[in-house]
Amino acid sequence: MIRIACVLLLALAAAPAFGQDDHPNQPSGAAALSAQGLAGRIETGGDRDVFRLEAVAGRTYRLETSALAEGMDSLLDLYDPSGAHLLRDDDGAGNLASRIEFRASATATYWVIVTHYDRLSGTGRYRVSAREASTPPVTPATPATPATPTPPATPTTPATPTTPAASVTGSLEFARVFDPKLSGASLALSYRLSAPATISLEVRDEAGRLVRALASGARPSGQSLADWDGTDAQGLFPAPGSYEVQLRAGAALVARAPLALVRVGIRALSFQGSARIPLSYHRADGSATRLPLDQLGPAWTLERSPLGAGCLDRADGSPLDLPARWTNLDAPPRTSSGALVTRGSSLPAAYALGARPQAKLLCGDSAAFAGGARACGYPIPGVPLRVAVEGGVAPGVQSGELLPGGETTLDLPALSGAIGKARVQYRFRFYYQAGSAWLPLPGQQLTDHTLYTTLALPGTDLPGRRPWVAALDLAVRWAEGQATARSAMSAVVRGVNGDLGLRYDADQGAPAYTDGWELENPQLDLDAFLDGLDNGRVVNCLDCASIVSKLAAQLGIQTQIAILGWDFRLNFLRGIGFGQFTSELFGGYHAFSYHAVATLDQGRTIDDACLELDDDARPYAAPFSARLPTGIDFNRYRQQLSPDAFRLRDLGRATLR
Amino acid sequence: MRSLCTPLLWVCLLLSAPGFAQDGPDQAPAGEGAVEHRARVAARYEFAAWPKSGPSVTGWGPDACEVAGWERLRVRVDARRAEARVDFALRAAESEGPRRAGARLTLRRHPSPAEAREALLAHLGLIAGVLTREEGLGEVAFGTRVEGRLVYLAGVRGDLTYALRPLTQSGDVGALAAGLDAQLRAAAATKSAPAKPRARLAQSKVGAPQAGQPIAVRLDFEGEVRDLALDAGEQASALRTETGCVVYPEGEGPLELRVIVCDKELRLSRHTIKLR
Repeated sequence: MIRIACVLLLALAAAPAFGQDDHPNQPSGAAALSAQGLAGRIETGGDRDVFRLEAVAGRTYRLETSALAEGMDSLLDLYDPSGAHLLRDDDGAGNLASRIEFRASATATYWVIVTHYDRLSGTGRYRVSAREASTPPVTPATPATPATPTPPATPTTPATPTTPAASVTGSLEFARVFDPKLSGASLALSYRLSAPATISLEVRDEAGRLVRALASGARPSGQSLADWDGTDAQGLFPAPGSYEVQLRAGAALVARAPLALVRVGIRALSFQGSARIPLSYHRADGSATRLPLDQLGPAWTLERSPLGAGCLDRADGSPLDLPARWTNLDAPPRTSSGALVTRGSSLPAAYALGARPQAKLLCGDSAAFAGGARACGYPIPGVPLRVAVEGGVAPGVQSGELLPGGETTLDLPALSGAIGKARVQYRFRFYYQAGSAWLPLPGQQLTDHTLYTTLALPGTDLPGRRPWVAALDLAVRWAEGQATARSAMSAVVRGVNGDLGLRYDADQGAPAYTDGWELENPQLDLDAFLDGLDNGRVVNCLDCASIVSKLAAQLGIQTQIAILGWDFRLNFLRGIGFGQFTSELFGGYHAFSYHAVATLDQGRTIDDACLELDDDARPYAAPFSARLPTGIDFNRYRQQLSPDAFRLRDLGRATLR
Repeated sequence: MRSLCTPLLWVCLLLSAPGFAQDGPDQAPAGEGAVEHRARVAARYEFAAWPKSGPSVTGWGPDACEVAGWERLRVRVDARRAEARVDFALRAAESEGPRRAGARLTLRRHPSPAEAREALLAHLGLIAGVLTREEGLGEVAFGTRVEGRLVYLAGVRGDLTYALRPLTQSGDVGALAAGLDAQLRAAAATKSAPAKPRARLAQSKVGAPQAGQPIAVRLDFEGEVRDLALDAGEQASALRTETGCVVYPEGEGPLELRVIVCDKELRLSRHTIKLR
């Protein structure tokens, strides 16, 4: 702060003098203030008159302007001996005159600067004095011209007859906290005049500088509207901080209200909640090592700003792009050098049915301004900020008070009550407290996600019980909209049977994706299956049963592989990928040495994606009534598949918990 | 009397029908299936009569697999399974565009010839149909022929098992199988080459573990590493880096990194590194 003030003083010292200046623009040569006061004049727009005050520590001084004339609207600034800005006043003495009272902390020279409120073009005469607060006011030796407001130099002809400005009153309404970089943010201002007037509506900074003129010209009485996009006259975003919106009728200030410019935003979002299902990529790199998505950091993150990890903006002041959803199902994002990308992406997440999703939000801690990172402009004393998500519970209840760089947790809207994959865009709105009410900041922050909904956590034979994104995506695609294990299982069976282009190995029934010593607990090469069916599309029953079982497990369905045997003849059947029913498998051998199916209930019902039965009274002859066996009773299945009474020989391990 | 008996007869018939006769499927005693299945498969394929195992195949790997008339398209090695998948295309007149694979060889190295034979038997047990003995291929090999074309072959030589199948509907892998087996036979006869892995982990250096932080592990190897598998158990993930790997712990407690190094002959060396 001191440094900034010093810079200000240096800038003042460097400013050129305009014409005949009665008081210097810099400390050098500044006249000493006294109780009698000094007359001064702002001769040109932008003129500054610097005075010195020889103060004694512990004494209280009153500085004030008076005798304003010729359009003068004074601003009074006080700087301490080191050049740090201490206080400012605009109209504290009434009638556009200024007043500052302060207690000197040191016996030293303080600096007082008088300027016109309208830094660009304001001019006028004034007197300025400094006296100890206990000293009675001194009547000026030369009375000044009464401080009657003067009309603007070039008044605009009003659309309706103007009432003298002095009799006009006004009011302002707008959100008192504003982040112009939020999506869709625009500050809507409503102002009201008691009578028609030529107005100016402006945003000014803490130093009284004009930031942006929002409206001017003749306005009728009653309500008018204006908008501010949050940029200054050069189209740049001002720094977070305290600002003021001022409404003038003619030269008279008829309404003013503070405005806090902040930079508030979510830098990272992590999904939480008891029914959240952690996901994994099956192929994180060349060694096919699985990778939990959680290891990459929050599910949704802004990329890192060049101005620091917590900054919400680029160096040029523009907000960081919202991260795109990462849609590769196999592997996480990487940089061009191959490093894992831990920021700047939106990774998928999953919840089980009935979950109450939660989001843990991490707030950004700074904003970009003039190429550097600046504090976010909040917390604002006495004006807490909170965040709520659209569709969530009532605003003001959801989060605790936001702090720059702090975390908060929100309940998210419930997901659909069925298995599914959805692109979910959350709209986070920020609120500030005004009295007992929570009022929204204009704009919102959007986050974009892929969210899966499954039935439950997956099986223990999946590493870490994390569904693999690619497998989950496939299973969810088929089971979309299902809400029970039975219906979802049937959907997976139909998907495996009809959606992958698989074909039964009619030559010998050899497996392409399964291996191992135990028929009932085969090892499925899920990597090869997910990697574009890398082992080909010709499969056998064990492949089909394993794929069904493994994909169902991604959805949280508990399945087992059932082994049926041995060496039983077959009725007519239509193998997966076959165009028609046949009785000529394996070169006419047409018998299974064994058969593998999936089951939800220890073999009482059968799910078989590998073939379709002839589900009529004569399964050994045409015509054929095709039925894909999903949830079919074991005995019915056996009766339709084979003339022989094969048995359920073995059951594999259950795949859920 | 007759009118009374007829409904009773129907009830008895219905109750004896499969759907009503039992509660649940017709199930063999638990645990019997696997034992029974192996015995059946061993008997079917006359496992006891298979010729004596030959020596391990040495000095040969899937990258050296050259068969006249076939072009080797790509070789993918999986250290976890000591397995290579080799795709071949028939050599033909020059054609535009990428070559399509016409056959797939799946090759796997086992710890010993005896274990390789058990693996072949297990593989035969996964086949729903029945293969026939292919004389002259492998020490033991079984396959399927359709109109004279070899459309599937599963065999063993030394400590290697292999499966060969065409990837096109009218494919024939007979010549490919013969060429491959000739190479394996020649390699198996060469006993001078060492049977131990030609690549292994020489040393490792574990970075200082910090709570909640990934652990950097530097891995230095001897010999040519064809593939590497990393496994940090259920409580961590391991990712390859240029100098080794990074382990992401998911909880507290002891942590081990298992490293499987696969050389170009599909021989494995296994290493365990204690991380904390």
